[in-house]
Amino acid sequence: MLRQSVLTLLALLALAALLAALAWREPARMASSEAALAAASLENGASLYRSHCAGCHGVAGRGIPGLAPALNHPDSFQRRLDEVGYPGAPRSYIEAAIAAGRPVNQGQYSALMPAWSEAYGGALRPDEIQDLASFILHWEAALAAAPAASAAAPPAAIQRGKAVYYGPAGCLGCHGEPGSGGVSGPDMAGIARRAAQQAPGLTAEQAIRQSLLAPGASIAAGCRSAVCPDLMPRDYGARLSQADLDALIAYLLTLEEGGPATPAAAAVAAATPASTLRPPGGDRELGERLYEQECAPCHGPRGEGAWAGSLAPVFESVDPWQYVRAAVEQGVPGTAMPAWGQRYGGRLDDRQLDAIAAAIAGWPAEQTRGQAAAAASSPAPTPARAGLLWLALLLAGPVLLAVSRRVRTR
Amino acid sequence: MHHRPEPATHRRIGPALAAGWDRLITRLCAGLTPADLRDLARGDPPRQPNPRLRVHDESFWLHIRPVYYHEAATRFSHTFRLGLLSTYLFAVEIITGLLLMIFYAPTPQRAYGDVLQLASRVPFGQLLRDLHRLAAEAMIIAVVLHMLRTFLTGSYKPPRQFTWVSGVVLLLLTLLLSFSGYLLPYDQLAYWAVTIGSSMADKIPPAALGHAVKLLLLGAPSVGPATLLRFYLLHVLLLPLLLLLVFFVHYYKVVHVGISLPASEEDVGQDTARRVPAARRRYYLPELATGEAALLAAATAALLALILLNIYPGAPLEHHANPLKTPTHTEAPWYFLWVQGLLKLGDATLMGVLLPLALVLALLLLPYLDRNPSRRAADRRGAIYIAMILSAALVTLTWMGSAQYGVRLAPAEQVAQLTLPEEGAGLVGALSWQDLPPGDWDTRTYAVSSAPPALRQTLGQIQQALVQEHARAQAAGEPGLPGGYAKLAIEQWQPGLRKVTLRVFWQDQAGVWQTFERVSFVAEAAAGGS
Repeated sequence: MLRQSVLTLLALLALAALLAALAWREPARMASSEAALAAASLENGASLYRSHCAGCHGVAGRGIPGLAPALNHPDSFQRRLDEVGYPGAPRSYIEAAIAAGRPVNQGQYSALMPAWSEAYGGALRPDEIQDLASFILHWEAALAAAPAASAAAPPAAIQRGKAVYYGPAGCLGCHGEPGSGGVSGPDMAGIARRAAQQAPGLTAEQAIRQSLLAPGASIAAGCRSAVCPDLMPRDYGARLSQADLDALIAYLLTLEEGGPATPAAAAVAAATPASTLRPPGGDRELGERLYEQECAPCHGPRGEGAWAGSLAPVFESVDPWQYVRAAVEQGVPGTAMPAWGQRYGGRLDDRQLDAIAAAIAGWPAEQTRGQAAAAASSPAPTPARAGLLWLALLLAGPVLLAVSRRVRTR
Repeated sequence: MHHRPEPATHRRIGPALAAGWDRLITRLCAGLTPADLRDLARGDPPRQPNPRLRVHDESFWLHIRPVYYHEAATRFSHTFRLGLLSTYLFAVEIITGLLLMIFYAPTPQRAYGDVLQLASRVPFGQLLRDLHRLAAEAMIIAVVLHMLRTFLTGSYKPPRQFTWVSGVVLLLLTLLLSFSGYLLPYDQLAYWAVTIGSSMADKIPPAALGHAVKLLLLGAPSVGPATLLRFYLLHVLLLPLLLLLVFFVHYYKVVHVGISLPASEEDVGQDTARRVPAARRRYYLPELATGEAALLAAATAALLALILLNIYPGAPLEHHANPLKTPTHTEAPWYFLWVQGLLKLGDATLMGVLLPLALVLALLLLPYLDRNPSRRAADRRGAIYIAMILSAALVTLTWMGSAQYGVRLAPAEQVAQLTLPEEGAGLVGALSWQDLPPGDWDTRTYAVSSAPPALRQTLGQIQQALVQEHARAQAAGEPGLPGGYAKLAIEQWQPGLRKVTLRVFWQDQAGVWQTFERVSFVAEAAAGGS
C-alpha cells in the first residue's frame, strides 16, 4: 500500500513537471505559430490575388495601362495615402479599397474597382480581404528592402516620361523644348525647384502632380493670366495612365535650369518617343506567326500551357488585349517570362506587340480552357459486390442467433 | 519578584499552530485526522471506530462511492476501469471546453479566426484545443470499449438491464456531442462533414418529417450562421446537460445494483454482487482511491504525451468554410465513417437512416431480447458470434467509408492531389524552402536533375505516382496517362514567397498532348522543415 501511495505521488509530480516544461516552451510555440499564421495568410493572399486581381492589376501587380493601376509600386502605399488624405494605416486603406471598391477614378481606367466584400455583394470574406492585404503589403516590404532601386526613378521611367512629354500628352506644344523659354506656357526647365515653392506643404513631386491633374489648384506666382492665358488641359488624369503620369513627373523633375543636365536626363536625351495607352488592334496574322515562333514553345501551340502557364487567365481579364499587351511588353518579374517590348530591353516593336495581343485576345476563350474538361473526374465504380457480401453477413447475425437458440433449447 | 504559575490557556505558538493545522486537515478530509491519513497512506488498519466509514457519509464526493467493493469485481482485467475512464474524459472535456468558450464566438465571421488565434495568441490555446479533441475521440473509444466489455461479460442481464439502456443512451449522447462540436471551427472539414451528416436527417421517412428535422437542426436549408449557433448551443448546453443527467442515472444504477462479478464467481442466474463476504471486501479507502488516482494521473500524462510527442497530430484545421467550394474528398468523422460506408452500398434512406436506427434499437432492446440467463461465454456462443460479426462489419464499413475506398479521381488529378493537395502538406509541402529552388523541374529526368536531392526524390515520387495511376486506369479499362510525365515550375513570386505549378502531361487516344495544372503558393515561413 505504501508503495502504491508513493508511486501515485510520483506520477502526480511527474505530471506537474510535464506541465511546467510545457509552460516554459509555450511563448516560443506561440511565436512560431504566429509566424506560420502570417505565412499561411500570405499564401492564401497570393492565391486570391491570382484568381481575383491579376486580371486587371497584372500578374505581378504592376498594373495594366487603361485597366487598373499598379499595386506593386512605391506610390501604392504611403504616398497614395497622402494623396487622398487617408488618415489610417496602409493596411486599412487597402482593405477598405478591396472591400468597398473605388467608386470613382479620374477617367484613366476603363472600369471601376468593384466592391469585393461579401457585405457589399462581392465574393470575399473579411478574412480573405485581410489575406489579400497581407500579400499586397508584402510588396511594400520588398520595395522598402530595395530602396536604391525605388528612390530615384529608373532611367527607363525618365525615358518613358520624356516620350510622354514629346508625344501623346502634347506638352511640347505649349511648353516647348525645356530651356527654350516656353511657347504659350512656362518653360519647364527648373520646374523642380519652382514647384517645390509653389504650394506650402507640397513637395515638388506632389506640386507637379497637382498641376497636371488639377491645374487650377494653384497657379505659379509669376504666371499672370494676361500674359499666359490658362490653356492647361484639364483631362490629363483621364488621358494618361498612372505609369505614364509617374514617368512624366519623374522626367520633369530631372529638368534643370538651362536644359537637361542630370546624367539620367542626358542618358535619355536621345531616346525614341514611345506610345502610351494604345487602342486595341493589330495584325492578327502577323501575331499568330509571332506567337508560333516566340510563345508556343513555352505556352503551348494554343496557349493551353506547356512548361509555362496556360493563357486562360487572359480571358478572365476585363480587357484581354491590354492584359496581353502589357504582360508581353513588360514581362512578368520573378518568372521566366521576359519583357519583350523594346522599351523594356526586348526585341519586339509596338507593331509586333499589338499583333500578338490582337492574335491572342482574338482566340475563343474555350480553347485555352479545354484542359479543365479533360481533367474532370470519372465516376467511381460502386462497390456493389463487396457491399452485398457484407449485407448478407449482417443479415446472417439474427439467423445465427435463432439457430443457436434452437440448439440450446433442444 | 515572585513566581506566578502560567495560566492554562497560555501556550507556546508552535504547538498551537500545529493543533490548528490538524483541525483544518480533519475538517477538510471529512473527519480523517492527519494520523488517520498517515495510516491510510501506509496501509495500516484503521482505528476503531473506523473513521474511514464516516467519510463516506460526511463527504459529498465520497458518499457517491461505495465503502467497499467485491474483490472479484475490482480486478483490472474484469472492467479495465473503462467506465471511470469515460467519466474522467468527460470531465476533461468540460474543463477544456469551458476554457475554450472564453475565446470563441459562434458566428461565421469570428469562429474560424478565433480558432486560429487560439493557436497563436492564447497561452496554451493550442494545447487546450488538442486536448479537447483528443479527449473527445478517446471518450468515444472508451465508451464503445466499455459497452463491448459489458456485453462480453454479460453484465447487461438482469438485474442490470436498465443500466445497459442508460449506457446506450450515453453512447448516443457522446457521439452527438462529438458531432455537434465538429462544426465549431467552421473550416472546410467541419462544414462539409456536417453538410453530409445533416443531409442524413433529410432522408428520414416520410419526406415531410425528414425535411422538418433537417430544417430544425440546421435552422436553414443549408449549413450557415443559424446552424453554427444551434450546434454550439447543442454542444455546450443541451447535450452536456442531458449527458450529465443520464450519467447520474447510469451511475446510480451501477452503485445500487453493484458491479457484476465475473461469471465464474457465481452460479447461473445468481447475482451476489451486493452480498460481499467480509473476507472479500476491498475498501475504497485507501486502496481503490489511490489506484484510481494513479490511473487518472497516468491517463492525463498519456493524453499530454500523445500531444507533446506529436503522436496525436493535433486537432485539424483546414481552410475557412467555403459553401461554394466542395472539397475533393469529404469524409465524415471517423466514428461515423461506417454510416458513410453504408451509404456507398445503396439507398440513403435504408442504409443511412433505417439500418443505423435498427442497430441502435437492437442495442437498446438487447437485454430484453436476450433471454439466455447465463453470463458464461460458453453458454453465449451465438451472442458472441453476432457481436464479433457486427464489430467486423463496422470496421469494414468504416474502411469502406473512407476516401481511399470507392471514390477515385481522374489519374492526373489524383497525382495533383498527392503533390499539391487542397488541404494539408502533400509532397511539395514537405520540402524545405532550400529544396524548392526556382526552376522548371521535369519528372522524367529526376535521376539526373540538378535539383537538390530532396526535390529530386519528390520528382521521382511524382513520376512513380503517374506510372501507378496509369497502370490502375489501364487495369480498369480506361485510357490512363500514356506517355505521362509532369513538371514542377517553381517561381520566385515575392521575397519569401514562391509559386509552385504542377503540370501533368499525357497523350490522349488521338495522340494530342493534354495537360492538367494545379497552382499553389509556398511561403518561406510555412515551408516544411523550416
